[in-house]
Amino acid sequence: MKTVRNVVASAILAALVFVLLRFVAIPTPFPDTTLSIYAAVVAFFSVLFGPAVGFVGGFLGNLLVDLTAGWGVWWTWVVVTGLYGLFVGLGCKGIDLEDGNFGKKELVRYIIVCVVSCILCWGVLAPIGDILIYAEPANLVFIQGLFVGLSGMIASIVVGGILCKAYAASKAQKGSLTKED
Amino acid sequence: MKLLNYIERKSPVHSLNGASKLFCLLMWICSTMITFNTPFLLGATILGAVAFKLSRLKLSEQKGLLYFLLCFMLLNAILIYIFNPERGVELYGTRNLIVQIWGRFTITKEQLLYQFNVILKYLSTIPIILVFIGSTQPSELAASMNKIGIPYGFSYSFALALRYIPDTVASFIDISRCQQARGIEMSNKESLGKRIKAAALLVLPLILGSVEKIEVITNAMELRKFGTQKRRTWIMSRPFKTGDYLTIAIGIGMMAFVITYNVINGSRFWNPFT
Repeated sequence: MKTVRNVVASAILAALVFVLLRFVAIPTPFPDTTLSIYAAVVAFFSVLFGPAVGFVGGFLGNLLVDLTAGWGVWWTWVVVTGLYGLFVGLGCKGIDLEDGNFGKKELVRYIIVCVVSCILCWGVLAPIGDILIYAEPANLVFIQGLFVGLSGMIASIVVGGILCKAYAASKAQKGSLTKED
Repeated sequence: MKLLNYIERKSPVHSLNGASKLFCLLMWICSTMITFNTPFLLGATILGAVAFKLSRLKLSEQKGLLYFLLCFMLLNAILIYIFNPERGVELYGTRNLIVQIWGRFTITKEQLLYQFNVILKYLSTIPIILVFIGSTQPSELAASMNKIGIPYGFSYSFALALRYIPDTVASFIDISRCQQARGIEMSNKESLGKRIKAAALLVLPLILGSVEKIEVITNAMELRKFGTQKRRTWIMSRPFKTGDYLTIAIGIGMMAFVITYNVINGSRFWNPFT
């Protein structure tokens, strides 16, 4: 949270997560689950602005949703959304979208980071937190985690990938201009 | 769209400082989250109801939220039962069978107490969240976060997020209408792949537009020298009064009770079976 830009980016990410979680419900073939598009936005912002913005924005956005949604604040899931941003941001460190640099190599790295982070966050951390803190039955929370994690993974790779590609394409590539003698 | 449902009203709860309310809320949520002490949860539920009454908010104002909460609570209770009808037996370590319904679906006293606890956890936290949201002005919330020790960059992010949610919703609705006018289908009729593609078409302009907005806001804030000092003052912050110390005491009291109970009892569960 060092620069002004990070403060603003976190706030906008939180607002986007809020809107996407509350308003964009894309039905999937599984019952009672919707596609977690918000994971894609968290991933994209983490790549663009770094892990701190991903963490704070994801955390705040999910917290706001929980505060206004009526199911109470599920701290485990709120923190995990933030952690997802943190992990993706850390894993994609060095990918510089501002320089228009998002080729095949970066895309593969991005996808691997997303898959690993999704498994770690929704497959491991969220269910374990629920079992330890809320004493929920293990098989229930693991199935919930599986659904959210899987749809988050698909959304992150497809939508997040498109976002990174589109954003990088809109920027001038580093070294694309040469000085004329 | 009204986001946090702040309702302007004259009441003892409204006149409390946002920082003390936020502190009490955090302690409240954490203590009821940790404990499985049924009498404590019952007490917290009653206290929450009293606070709701004191805040002069009306149940009819929160109808949608309450309806949703009830559905969610019921669904969660049913899911817990279906997935593990003997979860209570595992947790309490004893087994007092009441009826055997069919196969693994049994009803035990332990399961009933466990599920009652889970429901109480909802009932004890929801009213207090409603009271907090209904009685605290969003911009005062950010000032209070800073006051209880959260870094001001973080608090300011929170305030900014609250400020920009209505804008984001508005542009989201615009984009969604535009895309629908272009014939983009997002309902069940389409295949999953097409739906993801449609979502991308909807989300893409929204997000790329927001990224542009970040630059504008950043420039505006930098021009006003945001973030150059270690501390900042808040226009919405208020001095502490007696009621605020009482509110903080309630929060500390609840947390202290839960922690001492856990230490003395050796577990988080209030267990009448042994």
